[in-house]
Amino acid sequence: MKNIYLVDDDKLFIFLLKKTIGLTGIPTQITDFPDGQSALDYIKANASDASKLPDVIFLDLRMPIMDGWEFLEEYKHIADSLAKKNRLYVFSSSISPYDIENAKNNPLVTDFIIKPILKEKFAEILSD
Amino acid sequence: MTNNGQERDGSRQLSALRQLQILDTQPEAEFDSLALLAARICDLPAAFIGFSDENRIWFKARVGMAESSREIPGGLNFCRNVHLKDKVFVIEDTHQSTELATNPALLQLNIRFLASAEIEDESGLVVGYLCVFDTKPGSLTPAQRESLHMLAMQASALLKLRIQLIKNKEREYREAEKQMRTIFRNSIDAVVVTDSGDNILLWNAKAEEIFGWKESEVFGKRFGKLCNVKISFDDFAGESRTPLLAHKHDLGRAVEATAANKLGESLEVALSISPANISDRAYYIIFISDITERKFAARELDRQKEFYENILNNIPTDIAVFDANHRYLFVNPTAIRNPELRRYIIGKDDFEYSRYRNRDIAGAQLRREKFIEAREKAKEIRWEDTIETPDGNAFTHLRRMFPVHDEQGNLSMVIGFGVDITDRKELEEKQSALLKQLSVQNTQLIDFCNIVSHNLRAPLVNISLLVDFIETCGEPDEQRQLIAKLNPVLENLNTTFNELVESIQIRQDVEIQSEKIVLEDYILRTLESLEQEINKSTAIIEVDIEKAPELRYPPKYINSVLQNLVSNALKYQSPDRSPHIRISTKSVGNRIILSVQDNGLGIDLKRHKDSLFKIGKVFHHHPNAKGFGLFMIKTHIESMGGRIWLESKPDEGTTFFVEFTNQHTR
Repeated sequence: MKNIYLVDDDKLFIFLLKKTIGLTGIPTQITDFPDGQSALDYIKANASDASKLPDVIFLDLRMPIMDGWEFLEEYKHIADSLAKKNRLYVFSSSISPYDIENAKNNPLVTDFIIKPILKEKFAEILSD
Repeated sequence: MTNNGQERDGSRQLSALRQLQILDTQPEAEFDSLALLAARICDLPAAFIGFSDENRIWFKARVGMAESSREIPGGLNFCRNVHLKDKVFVIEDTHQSTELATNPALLQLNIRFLASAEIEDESGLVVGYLCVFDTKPGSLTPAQRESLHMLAMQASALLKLRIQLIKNKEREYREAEKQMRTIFRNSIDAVVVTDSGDNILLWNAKAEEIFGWKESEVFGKRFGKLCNVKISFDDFAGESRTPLLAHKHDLGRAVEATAANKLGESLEVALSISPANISDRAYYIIFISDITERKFAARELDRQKEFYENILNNIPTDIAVFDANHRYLFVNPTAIRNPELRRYIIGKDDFEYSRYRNRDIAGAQLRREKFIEAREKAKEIRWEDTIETPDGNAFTHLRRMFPVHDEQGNLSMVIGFGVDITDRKELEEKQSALLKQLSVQNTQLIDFCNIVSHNLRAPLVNISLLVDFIETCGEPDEQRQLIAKLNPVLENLNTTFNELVESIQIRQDVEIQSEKIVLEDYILRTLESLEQEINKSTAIIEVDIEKAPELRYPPKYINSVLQNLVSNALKYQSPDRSPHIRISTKSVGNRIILSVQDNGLGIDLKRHKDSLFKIGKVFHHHPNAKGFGLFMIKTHIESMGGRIWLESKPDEGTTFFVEFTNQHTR
């Protein structure tokens, strides 16, 4: 079972995302966070517990309190010390080339995905 | 010897005597000694050396004769005897010959015995005699006779020496005269010699060249009249003015005059007049040089000087020239308008000038540093300096110092230029402010694009996903549930869209006008519009605007500022306490500062300091937080030249400050 973190403040989008992932039929466990800070706190708290750490993180860029960029800045200090390696996808409704370029140049980021995200793409990501 | 022969000899003798220049001269020791020696040797009381011209005997030397009788009438024919072999003639007693006994000269000298020896000139011509005599008859021994002859030869030798000296002198004189003539002929100056009546006597080649008249044409003519010589304070061309001029002016001093040449062309000349007396006659030696070209060149130089001075004096650039020690050699009127100060500063430096004008010497120090820099670098340096006048106006000059070196590479002077670039500077500052504003606006535009893509695209993505699910969903209950989710998204989209449009409108409002704002009215209006929220949260609002109750600002902007800051304070209140909001103003110089203080959630400044006012930035999870407000009012405030900043501590509260500039000068 894939452990998935969704970090996004848009509750409707999280609802729709969970529904889309459900449609892929791949067994998953999904945890969602309304901002970068709460996700970071949770990861830090479970840094040595591989069962609670994610296989895949989907990270939104624009969020209150700690946005996606700030999260990445903090995350790079702890990523190597985690009990479990993961892939991280930035997904955003932003179509700014600046954001895309920045995200793709970040070694922590596997890929940048522009919303909306399709069922087929999820299937591809999660079946790896 | 015939009479004719005698006469011929007589005339030759005369010319020889003239050549010897011996007649009527003073006694000379050499001849006196010879005469004395002759008298002694012959043991006789008297002797003489005599020469005779037409009708007298003149004595060059006398022994035993009366002092007064330097000459007597008559001739020395009695001394002659053509038949003599040894050139000594002896008359032992004059009374033995009637001719001699009655000779007036012999009688006058009371001579009875006479012995004479011939004195010859260099050509062997007998020109005079050495005689010894007595008042009684006598005779000579052969030895005495021979001695007399030898003494006469000695006298002849003296004459030869004399003629040699005379010839030398004459040659020297001729040489000198030739030299004088050459000098006169070839003198760089024209030389004209006139008599006391201004009549021309001599006229050299240079005078011919200057005036065009040949010497033969001008001799005896009046110089002043011929050449129309006019001195500014005297009319030299008038009747016989040369002596007058000589009286009036320092002789030998050059004066400038106008004159005319043979063709009547006007000349400018410098002339000096020296008086001279030659053989008791007055002459004037006039030296003349043609200064027409020099005067022309001088006038041309003056004209050029005037031309350049005119430029230097009227050029709108400060110009100063310094010597190698930074002392002023020149300043133009643009640099120092007051002519007295302009004179004062010459030879002084900036320190002396600053003290003299009671000015701060900081300016002088700066210039000295720059001068040294220019001197050491040996090339032009530039800088800008700004001077504030007592009335508060600032003037900016672009200054340049340019070292000038002589051929040996030594610093000869430094030229300083200063151009008033106050206008340009102001323009530059405006441009730079504009550029800054543009760059800020450009950043804002990028932010704006990002927020459009996020805030509009995000709800659209949600709607499209929802619609997909609604279409594919088979269950009516779930379908209804999904449809219910559509409405808030649409509402949210609508609000966001309206806010974005408003934001764009404000940014386009470039020409917005300031008005007098009575703050109390605007605060009351804001509080009324937020009445519901205030009542709901039982907020306390404190207003203290006594220190600055009014300001000048665009009404739309002040509304937006108050609305945003007060609603933010209410929106981000702490769940633990009722909101306490304090709105106050204060005046700082030309500026007014408005502050809105709350006791709400606060913002973590350490984390958010770079993104505080970015569009779409929200710091709290709040249903209505979209991150437009701060971005928008910051745009307004900065477009008016002001600033916005804040102080905050998480869970203690936040204070926003807004600065309004230029409040008292409009």
